[in-house]
Amino acid sequence: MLSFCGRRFRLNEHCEHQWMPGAISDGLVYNPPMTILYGTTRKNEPPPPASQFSTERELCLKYFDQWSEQDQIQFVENLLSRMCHYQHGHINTYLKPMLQRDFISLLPKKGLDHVAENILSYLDAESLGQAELVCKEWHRVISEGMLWKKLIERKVKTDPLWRGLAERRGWIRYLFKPKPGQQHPDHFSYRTLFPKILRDIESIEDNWRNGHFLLQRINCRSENSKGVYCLQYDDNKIVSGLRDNTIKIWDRNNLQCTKVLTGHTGSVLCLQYDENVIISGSSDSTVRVWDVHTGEMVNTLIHHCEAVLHLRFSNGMMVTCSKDRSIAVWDMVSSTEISLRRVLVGHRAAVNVVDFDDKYIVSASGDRTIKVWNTTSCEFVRTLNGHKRGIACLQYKDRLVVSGSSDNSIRLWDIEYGICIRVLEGHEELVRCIRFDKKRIVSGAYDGKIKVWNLVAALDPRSPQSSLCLRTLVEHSGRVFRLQFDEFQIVSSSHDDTILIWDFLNYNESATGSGNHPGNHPGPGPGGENGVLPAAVCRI
Amino acid sequence: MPNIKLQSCDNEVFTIDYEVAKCSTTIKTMVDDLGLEEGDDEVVPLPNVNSSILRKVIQWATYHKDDPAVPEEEENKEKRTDDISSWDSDFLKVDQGTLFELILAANYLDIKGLLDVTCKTVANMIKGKTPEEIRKTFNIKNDFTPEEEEQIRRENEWCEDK
Repeated sequence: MLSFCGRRFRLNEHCEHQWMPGAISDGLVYNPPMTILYGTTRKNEPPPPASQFSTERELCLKYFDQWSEQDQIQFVENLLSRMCHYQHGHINTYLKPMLQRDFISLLPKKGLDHVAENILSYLDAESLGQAELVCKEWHRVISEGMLWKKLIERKVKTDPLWRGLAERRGWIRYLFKPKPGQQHPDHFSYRTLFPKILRDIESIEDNWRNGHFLLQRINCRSENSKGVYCLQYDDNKIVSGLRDNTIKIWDRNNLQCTKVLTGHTGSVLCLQYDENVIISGSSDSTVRVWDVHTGEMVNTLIHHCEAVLHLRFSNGMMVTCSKDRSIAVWDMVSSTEISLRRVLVGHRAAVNVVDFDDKYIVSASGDRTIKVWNTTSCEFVRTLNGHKRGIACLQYKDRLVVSGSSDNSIRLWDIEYGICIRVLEGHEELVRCIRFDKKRIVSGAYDGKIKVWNLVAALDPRSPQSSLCLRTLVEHSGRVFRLQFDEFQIVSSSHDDTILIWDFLNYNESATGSGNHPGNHPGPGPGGENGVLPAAVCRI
Repeated sequence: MPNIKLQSCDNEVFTIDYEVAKCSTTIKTMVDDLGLEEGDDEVVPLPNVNSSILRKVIQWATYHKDDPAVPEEEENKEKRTDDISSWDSDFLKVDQGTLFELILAANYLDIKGLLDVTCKTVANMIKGKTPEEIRKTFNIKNDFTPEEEEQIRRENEWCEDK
């Protein structure tokens, strides 16, 4: 105890001379360093001579080596508890690097390059870029493991935007397994490709934000009653249902009509196609099934007693809805074997739209309500109330329902809770058609205007209403009846008898004159006035 | 439930439930190949794993023995590292030496779940750090010349202005 006090006293003395001025100047009172606390067992004797220490140490180590690992640990713990803090600090500094492992460099030394690569494959682009700079070995593992290529491949597999871009820009040929006889470029090319892709994506996002697009116009030139009620597209074709009772199929390369399907005796109000069939619903009250390749009509379903307003099908099941206020659920074995399973009644006005997945069937009606039904049992589940006038359109996916109404508003609903989570105001007329993906909602209204909304922001309750509408696109001169969109484009149809393709992908190319799209010749094409218009900058 | 005996490289024998041991594809294959049956007193030697690591691996496998099989199409999913369960994350609060040994053991014993979660843990130690912070974390010496470093940094400039 005496030695402790003496030490403390000396420290305080030291403190007064060296530390106090600083303490006064910044108004803080420094405590003397408290790190030197000797254990009571420590003796104040002079250290033994070096030769004696050396002999004693050898003896200790000899004993130590003979003990079991467990005993060694206990002994060292005991030793440590006898030492003071600065010694602990010293040992800690000595011990820390012994416990560290350079995983990425060590694993390849054990022949486990693939494990090192697996660790690095969890990194995003930023972290991968940082990891390259750590040391030569890390740089080598990243390069030989082709980790930039793998990162791009993973993006392409998981993100539809990357997938679509890979196909459209052509760099998908450098990914995955090369074709026989072909070789892929070296690692460095992928490393430089990555930022190029990011810049490309950024410019597409800018085009959406700023309303920069290349506009293609198909004029349907219907003879009697003009207007295009419905459509669906893929990379090669657009299938459209017209007011003149026909279904017209358009080639996307030259914007020419390749097939006209006749049979309906009323306007074609709704349609959907897959790789085998087109199914259409009409104001002639029938549902008709067509061979998508030949255009031949293969089946007619006569059930509804008024116009068939909407239909959806997938996985052997179809749901149709009608002005007759009912919803019909069908089992589809094949295009010719379609049987009625159940009729859902409950709406008090025309059922304008249906959508469904494995869990729910969702329907919306002129009676201002959305109704939710169980897909398996077809039993009624709940009603979503909120719209102040009839509902014209909706889409349902992953528990989100987005609906558009004659009250000019769009509503977002949580289907499980049955509550409205957002109202989007901005359209000045009936909202006739609506689609959404993971990022955006696109809606079309009776005043010919199409609006693009920020879905991510709309789902965040803190976003101010004014920030939600990204853009208003005005090119249609009549009611917008139907639209579909993806990461790169919107395709819309209207009462003005046109189909418009709003291309946000190729805007830059067209601006610089380097765009090369066979068939997309500006001005009137051989079969009419369909073609590309100069890049349009839309009005707000 | 039949038991199985596993012997570590330092000759410690662990008797465990075969259902637990089976999560190691290596052990499962050995048992199948050796044609071991219930009641056999045969010991499965694991010359690449020491007892302290084998104890940890058994602890992990016991906790996870009822986990559903990992679907194969995982390739098509985004690679996440924020989905480590709290049990696993506590279990892996170990020094880097132990974590390294666990990775080697998981790889040797072919336990996909353990290999995934240990690799993710290391990835999380790298994520969001500067090269210097990464070097500090793993005690790595920067062996690039200033010129080499500058060259790579220039190639990576797009990373920073993102």
